[in-house]
Amino acid sequence: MALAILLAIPLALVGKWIDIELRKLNSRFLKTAKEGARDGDTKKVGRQIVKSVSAIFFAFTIFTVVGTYLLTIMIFLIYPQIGASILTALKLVYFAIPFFGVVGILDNLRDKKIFKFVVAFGATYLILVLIGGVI
Amino acid sequence: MRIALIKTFFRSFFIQGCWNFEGMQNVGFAFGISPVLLKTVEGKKMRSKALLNSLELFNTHPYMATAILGAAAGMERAKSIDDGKDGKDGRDDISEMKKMLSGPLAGLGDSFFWAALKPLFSIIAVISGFMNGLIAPVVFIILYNSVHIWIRIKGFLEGVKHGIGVVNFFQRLKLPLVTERLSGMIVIITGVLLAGLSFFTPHFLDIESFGFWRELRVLLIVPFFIILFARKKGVSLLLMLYIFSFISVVVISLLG
Repeated sequence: MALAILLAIPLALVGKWIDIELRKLNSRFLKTAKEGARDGDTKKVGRQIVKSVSAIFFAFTIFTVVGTYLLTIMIFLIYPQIGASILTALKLVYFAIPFFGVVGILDNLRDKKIFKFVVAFGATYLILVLIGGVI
Repeated sequence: MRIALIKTFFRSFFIQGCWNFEGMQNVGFAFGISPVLLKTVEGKKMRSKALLNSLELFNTHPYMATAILGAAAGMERAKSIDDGKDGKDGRDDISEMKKMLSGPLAGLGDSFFWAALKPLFSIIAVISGFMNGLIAPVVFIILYNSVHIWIRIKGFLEGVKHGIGVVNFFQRLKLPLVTERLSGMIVIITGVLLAGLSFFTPHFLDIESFGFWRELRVLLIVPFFIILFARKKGVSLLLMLYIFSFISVVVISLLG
């Protein structure tokens, strides 16, 4: 699982690049929408939304299918070659991923008093771990 | 008119449909308001003016855009009624209303939906996933959308009814206060989730054989704070994840 996540992250960057390119493409649709607006043609404006949504749908469907296919092949090729020590390291990485996720969540909290949230989180974690350890 | 308003509400779901760097959500807004314009604005020239006005720069939180669309629709309707009486042009008022509301509502929506509601319901879904993996996405979709769709519907109706007065509806909701309380809940629930993971994950991953795991569990909070500190200093989480993976591979290979 950790191997899959580590290999998939660069694909997410490709997805971001596709997203930016699609938004640039939308500027063309905006020009056509403005032409439609000048003629008072509401249907022409609506068609630009349909075109844009269709472009997004097809681009990401193709990207998801191709990306999943490539990633699956890579994992099937790489996984049998991995040694025992790297497998153990990958298990550790898999275990650490939720920690990175929690950092992401705490980092996203838009509050000036972030410190009190961090303290509350740390206290909850430590209390539960200590109680759990005693039990 | 009622059907036009219903169409506008459903079209508000496509507000980001043609997001572009020049006008942002402007095409989505024009698409959304079109059914109302068709009902309220007579004549090609006037409709052209109204459509071009609705294509001006517009950007806000996508869920809050529904309330602004509702307010614009309500003002368009009121304007068409006024036109019948004294021929006033309220189009500039609609533009002003969009500019006045889009910024503050974007801020409210970002902090409430993206930074509080989504993480909270994601964590609840993850916890429910421990009971049954398949139930997690269903739990998330039901919980999140029940709040999101309610705010969309209520915001739209309030907008249609009160125009720019829709802002009172959001004031009554006290979203900043709710966001702060939700943030508090998030940290407590993540603490519980992570403590649970520290007990169960080693068992699932079969790394209890390390022996010193019980002692390490309490100390896990230290690397956590280091990662959080580094993140606050602007270091990318992905970069840290790859560095951690590399160090893990090197250290465990050396240890054999």
